[in-house]
Amino acid sequence: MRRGRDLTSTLRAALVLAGICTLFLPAQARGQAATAGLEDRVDARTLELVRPALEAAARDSLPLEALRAKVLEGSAKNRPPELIAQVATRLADDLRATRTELRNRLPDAPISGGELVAAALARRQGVPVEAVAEVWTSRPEGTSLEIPVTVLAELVRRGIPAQSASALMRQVLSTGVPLDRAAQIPGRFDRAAQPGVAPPQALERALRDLDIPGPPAGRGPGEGDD
Amino acid sequence: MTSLTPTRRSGPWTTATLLTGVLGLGVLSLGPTAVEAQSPRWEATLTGARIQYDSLAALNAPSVSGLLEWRGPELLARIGTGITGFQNAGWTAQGSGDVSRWLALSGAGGPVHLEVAGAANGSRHSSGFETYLVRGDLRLHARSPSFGGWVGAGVAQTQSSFDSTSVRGVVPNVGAWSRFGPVRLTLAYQAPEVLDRTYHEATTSLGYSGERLDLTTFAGWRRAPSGTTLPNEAWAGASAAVWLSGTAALVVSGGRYGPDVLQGLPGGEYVSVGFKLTRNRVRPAPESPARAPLLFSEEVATRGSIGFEVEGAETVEVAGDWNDWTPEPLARDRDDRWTLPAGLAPGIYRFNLRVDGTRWVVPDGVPSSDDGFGGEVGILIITEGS
Repeated sequence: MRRGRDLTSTLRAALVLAGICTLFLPAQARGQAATAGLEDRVDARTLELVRPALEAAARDSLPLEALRAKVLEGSAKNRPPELIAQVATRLADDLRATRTELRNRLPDAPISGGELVAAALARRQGVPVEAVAEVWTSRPEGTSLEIPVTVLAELVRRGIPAQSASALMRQVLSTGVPLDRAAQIPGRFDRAAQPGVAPPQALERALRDLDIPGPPAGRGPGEGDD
Repeated sequence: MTSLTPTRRSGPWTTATLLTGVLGLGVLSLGPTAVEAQSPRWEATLTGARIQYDSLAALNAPSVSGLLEWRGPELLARIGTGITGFQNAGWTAQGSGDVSRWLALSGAGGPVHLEVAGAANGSRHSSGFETYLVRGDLRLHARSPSFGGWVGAGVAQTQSSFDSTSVRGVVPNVGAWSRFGPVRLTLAYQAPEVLDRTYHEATTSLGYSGERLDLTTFAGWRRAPSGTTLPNEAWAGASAAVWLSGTAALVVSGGRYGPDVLQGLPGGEYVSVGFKLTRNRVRPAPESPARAPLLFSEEVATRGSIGFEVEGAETVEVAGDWNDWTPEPLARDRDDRWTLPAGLAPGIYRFNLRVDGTRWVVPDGVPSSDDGFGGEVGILIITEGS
């Protein structure tokens, strides 16, 4: 008889525990999804500190892969957990802000995770969101803008005015220049950027080497519109 | 119209020092007996240039440059430096040095000389881009007081921030010069061979040197090799130095430079006005037979095996977005060159190399950005298609 009561109590406790677990399951599932792949790679302290940023990013449908990669990068480099969390949080904030600014200008345009990461990094490098958003206006259907946006940022870093670089990327997309060729523009630029050669001239040379037509007159590379 | 000089032939820097190059390098072709020993000598030049490169907007480009020169009976050595600002386009700083030694093969004062020359330069743009060039030349000269000629060859090596490996080239060249009183004429031909392609280039210059005026005109023509999209090119220009005193001159230049396939420099038209101060004026002479090429390499492979040079490393690992930042050891295919395994899928990756298990670095020539952790992270793009 006593044994039956013990069993009943046990079952009851199990049911209560199961109920409690059920109540918390969605949050745990979200947390596990946000930190999936990190548990075995980062220490408990780092995981604890980055979890809020990753969970928030998951709720906001931000590209988690980029955030996880940044956490793994920091862990691989043996950086302090607090710094890793800070960097991951800042990246999430950048992604969120960039998406908001792009959405304000491109309310109906699809933005993939990779494209958002490229746009956020471009924005961090000083490329105005307007210049980034303009690239979307020339996107051929089914074409990823990761490379065009990355090349845009690289050109701006090299002294090309943002609007000129953006015009060039739109020209690249609208004329069907293969992206593997467009990706070579910064490298060719660097070869041409020798002493006495200003960035616009180096870009002119790079485009000629790659047989890529420049933007139409009035929007050409090198026109100081910034 | 420079030759052995590390000063390149396009843009305001060269525009500013066009006459300087003619003055200084021309001596190389004449040989040590053609000029008085004036050692040491210095020059400082302040120049304002307006440049119109083909279809691009015109740029204003002020520059300041300096030159130190030591000249002896059988030796010429120079060090140059300068900085050029570009309208809305940052600035570029340059440094250079070259030395030339003359050896008499037919007795002192004889007509046959062997010239052994070396040159090096480096530059840095405000964007962080850096490049260097080194070159060595051997030339055999035969000359008389009024005419002469040479035949020779140079080897050059260059590398920029974006190139993972250096590029070498061979530059055979031949030329002749003649002097008629204050007028001198130079004809030169060179055929640089770079990356299995040979370019043919002919240049000529005509100069006049008077009491207060030095005038130099030049023209050139280049035939592009078959199999390239590069067109044949022609260019011409002139420079005049009006000497206000024995130590100061107003220098005015203008003309067009042809695109330089070897140096990767674009063509363009320019005008410039400069003011030059020097300790001793050197009268113009026939220019040097060859100009220093800046070679260019093929793109770093973006598919299959990708190699990086890391000097002095015992072990090198790579970690990046594609392997969840798990350091993987790299194979060393030759001294200081480490190769990634083939098979990276197309995409944009962030990555670093870890050297000797401790140092996280971005390989030379790879674009990088702030990693947020106090270091840099490299960016690698693997593209689809060929």
